[in-house]
Amino acid sequence: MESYIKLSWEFFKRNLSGHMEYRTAFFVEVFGMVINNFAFVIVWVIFFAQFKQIKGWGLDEILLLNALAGMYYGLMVTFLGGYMRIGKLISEGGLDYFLSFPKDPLWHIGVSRMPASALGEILYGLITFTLCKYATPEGWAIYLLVGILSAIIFSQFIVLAHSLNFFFFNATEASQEIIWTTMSLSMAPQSVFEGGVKFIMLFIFPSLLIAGIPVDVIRNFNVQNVLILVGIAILITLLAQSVFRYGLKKYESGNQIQANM
Amino acid sequence: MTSGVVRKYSIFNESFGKYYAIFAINIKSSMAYFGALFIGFVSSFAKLLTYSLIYKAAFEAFGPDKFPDLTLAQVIWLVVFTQSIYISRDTMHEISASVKSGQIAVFLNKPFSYPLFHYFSYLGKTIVPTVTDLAFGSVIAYFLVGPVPIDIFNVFAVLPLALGALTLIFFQSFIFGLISFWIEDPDSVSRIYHKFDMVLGGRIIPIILFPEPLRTIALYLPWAQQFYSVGKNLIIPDHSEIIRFYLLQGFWVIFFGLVSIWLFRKGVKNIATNGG
Amino acid sequence: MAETIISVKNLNKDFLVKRKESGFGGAIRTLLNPKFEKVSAINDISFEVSKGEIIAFIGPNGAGKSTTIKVLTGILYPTSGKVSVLGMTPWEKRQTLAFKIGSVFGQRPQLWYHLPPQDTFDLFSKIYEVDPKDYHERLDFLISAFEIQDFLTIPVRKLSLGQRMRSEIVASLIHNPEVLFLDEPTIGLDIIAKQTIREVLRKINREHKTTIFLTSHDVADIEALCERTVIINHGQIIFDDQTENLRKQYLSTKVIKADFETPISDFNPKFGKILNKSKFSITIEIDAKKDSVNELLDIFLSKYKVADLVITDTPLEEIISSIYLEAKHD
Repeated sequence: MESYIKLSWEFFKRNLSGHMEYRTAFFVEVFGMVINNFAFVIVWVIFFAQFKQIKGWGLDEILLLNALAGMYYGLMVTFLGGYMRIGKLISEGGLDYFLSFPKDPLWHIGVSRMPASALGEILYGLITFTLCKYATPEGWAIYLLVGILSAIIFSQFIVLAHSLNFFFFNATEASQEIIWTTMSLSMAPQSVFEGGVKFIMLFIFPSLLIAGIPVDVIRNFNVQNVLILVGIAILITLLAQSVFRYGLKKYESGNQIQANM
Repeated sequence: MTSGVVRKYSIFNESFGKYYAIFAINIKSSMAYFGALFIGFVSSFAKLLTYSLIYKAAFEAFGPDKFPDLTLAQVIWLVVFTQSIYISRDTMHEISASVKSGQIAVFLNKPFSYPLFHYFSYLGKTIVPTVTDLAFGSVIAYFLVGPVPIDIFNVFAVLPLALGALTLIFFQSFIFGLISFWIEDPDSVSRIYHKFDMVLGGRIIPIILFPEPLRTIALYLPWAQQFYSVGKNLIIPDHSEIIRFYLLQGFWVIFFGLVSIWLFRKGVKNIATNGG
Repeated sequence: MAETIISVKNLNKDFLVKRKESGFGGAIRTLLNPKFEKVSAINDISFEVSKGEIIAFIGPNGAGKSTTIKVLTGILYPTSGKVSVLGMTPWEKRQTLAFKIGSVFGQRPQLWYHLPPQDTFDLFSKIYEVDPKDYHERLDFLISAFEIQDFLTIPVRKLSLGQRMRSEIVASLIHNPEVLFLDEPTIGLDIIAKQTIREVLRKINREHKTTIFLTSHDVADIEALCERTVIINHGQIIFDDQTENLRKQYLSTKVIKADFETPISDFNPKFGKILNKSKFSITIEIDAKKDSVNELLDIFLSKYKVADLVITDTPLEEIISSIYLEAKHD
């Protein structure tokens, strides 16, 4: 386990160095991403200028949501950025490369890539957090803790969504669609999801798991809520890892590939 | 086939038959993968539902005070309409890839117009998702807020606006594809550009809900003519305004059309001098 | 007697390929009632490899080569058969086995593109848990053997193909693997680079008894390195013998194509096999061990006006096909 953490750091350093080779482009990507994401904030500023709040969610809550999104998305693409390629690797046979190494392939896929804008996402999250009312000293600690837990949940969700490619041919678009939709819905004020709709937002497009519940934990911080969040993180990790390993067994039987003979 | 009339008709057929074929095959391929299609349906449904719920909650709480002239039903139906226009950015990606690889030179030798080819492909790819999104959105709106009175005259009046809207979106995508002749990575530029049409185009918040002076400014920008104009003129028609929408959209369509043609000619020259 | 480190017995691999029908209706039918077709990729093959062998494993595309290598490296599990690599069943102990094998595949570069090779080497030493002291000794040896000192700190993307290939092979050897799988290691390289690589591979094989599994379309590679050649086609082994014998039987064939300015309709050679003849050109295959290329050329040059002349070895694909046809007839 310890060696995996050390190795993750080695990969991170190399990913970063690779981008630093192109200094200007790197900074353009990082700051471009911050600016890009702020467009969403502007939309909500306009919205809340007209409508004070929606079911208990006002501008501060949306800022908190955005700050959290920057953190969980940013942490994921920084340390496990390769997860976004899983679908493509499965359907194009690129998984073989990772299988030839003496280390866990899922982990290896994750650490092998980091988009240039990754740190921009984290930066965006941090900046946005300072703008909302939750940014008290304790608030920061809570934010970082919940951010890490959300990042774990989010990354395992990505693994699950991409694992579809083990079981269905040409599912790359479908798995992307599920991820994009979940991410879009995660940016909406989560309080509008009530009743039956909650079911969709928990199990099909799990925006409540990634964003809704974590934001609530930050707003109502207590030990019980944190434990619930930890529990979710553990459960989804176990699920994603099992599904991936099961899919990997299928992959190793080689049946769904247009046999790259 | 010697009669002059028949020959004219068949030439017309011949030129546009191929574009119709391009249009049709793109429709087919957008429906080819059942799994992706199904997920696409479910996603659209979830997104439209979410937007409707947001605006329902917001408008029920604060709407009547701030917007006494609007009804909840109108706002929800408007939101559904502006959300339904499917944006395909494939045109930009395809053109930019073929410029980078030099494949565009091959295309330019074929017996059809490159811009028209992309235009009809785009229409083919856009029609099905847009229509299905409209259908889903209508179902959701109907169950949430009931129907909204629509004048049949308005339906016909907005059809040209709809085509104009799609054409505008196409031109912008086409332009971004072409600038890959001169810019390394048009994708990052286009992403920032599209944030403008997202914010100011009334895609997420219908322009009618904007505070002034933003509302007036936004109405004159090209992006309002894309997502917003069709919905607005259908759901909350104002006969005095529709002429203005026609004029504005016409202006922007011509503007972006000219830019597209100009850039395309420059690009072609670029290939001719640099050999692709 | 050298120990056996790879043992393949009655290996079979079938793939089930889903038959997709075209059109929308077809897509629905495929969804509801999928039809599968069995494709046999490997058909009852058996062979053994001893420690320290350098073996050429060749065959045309689609022959079952990659599939076999995937089974040996544990990436694919077979339909039936027994396989043992370094005492392990590959697909059961894939990660453990990975510590002891190395691979270089043309299509899958291992070096980080934007960084210098040194960075990848260091990373690999950590991934493969190589003792730091051993790593530095080993790396020094490999760097001087493959002569890559001069560009260790230059980003890979700026290196020439030859420099990249040498660095790739170094990367695959950092952890001192017992078996090395090489796929087209010298493709696109100039003669000097090829020879350097061959020399170092031979050296490593001699000093460390590294077993090498080489896939190459370059006949010279095979001749220079591999004592033994295994040819696979249509999922079956059709040749498993000393490379010597391959050479003796087939590689001495030369194909001569000549174009003339004057018609050659009256030309009737006493030897060789005419592959193609027209009014102004002829393509003829001769066995250079039996008949003389010089004699043939003398005839051409003295009797006719030669416009163009090309002499080639029989391509490996043809050799393999002819071997396969022979095998069929046996």
